[in-house]
Amino acid sequence: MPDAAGLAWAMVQRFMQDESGVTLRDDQSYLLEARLGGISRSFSFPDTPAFVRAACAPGATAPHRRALIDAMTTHETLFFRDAPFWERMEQTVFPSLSATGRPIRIWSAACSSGQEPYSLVMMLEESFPELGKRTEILATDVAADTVDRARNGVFTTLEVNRGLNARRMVRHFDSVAGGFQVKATLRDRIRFSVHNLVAPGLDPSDCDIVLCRNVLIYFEDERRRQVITRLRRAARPDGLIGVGSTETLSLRSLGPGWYANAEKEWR
Amino acid sequence: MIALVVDDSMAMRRIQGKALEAMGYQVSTAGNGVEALAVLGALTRCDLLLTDWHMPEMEGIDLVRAVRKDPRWASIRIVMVTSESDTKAIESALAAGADDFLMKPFTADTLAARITEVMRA
Repeated sequence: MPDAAGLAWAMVQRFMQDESGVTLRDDQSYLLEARLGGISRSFSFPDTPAFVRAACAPGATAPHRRALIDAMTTHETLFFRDAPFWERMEQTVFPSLSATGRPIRIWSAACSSGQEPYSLVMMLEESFPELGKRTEILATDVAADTVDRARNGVFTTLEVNRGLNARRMVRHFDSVAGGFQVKATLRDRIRFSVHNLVAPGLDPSDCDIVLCRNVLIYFEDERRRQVITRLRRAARPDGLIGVGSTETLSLRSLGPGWYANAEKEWR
Repeated sequence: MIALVVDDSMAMRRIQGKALEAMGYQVSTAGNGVEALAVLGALTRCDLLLTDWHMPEMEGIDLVRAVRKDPRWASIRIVMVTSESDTKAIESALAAGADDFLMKPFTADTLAARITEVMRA
C-alpha cells in the first residue's frame, strides 16, 4: 500500500477507535478503498486519502464524519446480503436462465472483497449445477488490492460468520492460515478484474444479469445516471439489473432490488 | 421460546444470554455438558440449545450427541458456538447433530441472524 493510503488507514483506525470504539486491524486496510472509495468520489475528493484527511480533521463537517463512520460500521459486505434479493435469484431468476439452455453471462460490477460473486457461484453449485457450467461470471471493483483479495478468496472468521451457515462453510471453504478460503473449483469460475464505473473503459456486454448493489447511493445524481446507463448498455435487452434493497431505478421493478433492463417480461 | 446457553465462560453465557433475551427468549444457562443435561431434565420445554465445544466434565460435542439420542428433545435446534475453527471440526459437529456452528469471534448481529435462520429452517 502506498504511503498516503497507509497513513489514511492509520487515521481511520484512530478515528474509529475514538469516535465509535470500533477496532480496525492493520490487515484490514483493504477496507479503505472498499468502503470509502465510492464515498470519496461522491464528495468529489481527488482520492480516498484526501477524503479521510478531511473527515478525520478536527472541525470536519458533520456529513464527512458521518459518512466515514457509517461506511466503516454499517455497510459491511456479507455473503448472501439481503435475503429477499437472493430468494428471488434462486426461485425465479436462475430457473428462468436455466430454461434458456444458452450460455449465460453475469457481471458483478462492484464486487468489493468478493462476497457477491462467491454467493453466486455457491448458489449455482448447490442448486443449478448445469446452469453453473455454462455461466460466465465477471467480477470487477475499482480498487486493485480489493480485487486481489477477492480473487484470493480468503475470509476471516468474522466475515464467513456473516451470511454463511456451517453447512455452506464446510462445503465451499477450506481452512487456511488467516481464515477460510473459497475452494479452488469455485474461485476458478469467476474472472476478477479492476474496473472503474466512473472512468472511461471497456465494459462487459451482453450480460444476462448486471449487479451493482449498494454503490449507486454514493454517487451524485448526474454521475448516478451515467453509471446506470453504462450498466444498462452492458446488459442484454432482456437482461436484469440488480441493485441494493434501498436503491431504486426508474425501470420496471421485478422484486426487491431487481429491475428489467427493457420491456420484455421476465418471469 | 426457551433457550439453554452452555458455556464454561460466564462472560460468554452473559453475552449470548443477553442477545437471546433481546430476541424474546427465556434463557437458562449451564457451565458444562453434565450441568446442561441436568437443566434440560428439569425443563418441560426447550427450543434452542447454544453450546460451547471445550468445557470441563462433558464436552459440547458429547452434549450434542446425548441430546440427539433423547427423543424428548427431537425438535430442539442446536448451535455450537465455539473457538474451534477448522472445517473438519465443523463437519464433525454437524455429523453429531448440530444444526449450525458459529465460530468465535462473532458480533451480536451475526448471532441473532444465525439463530433466526436456524429456527426458521
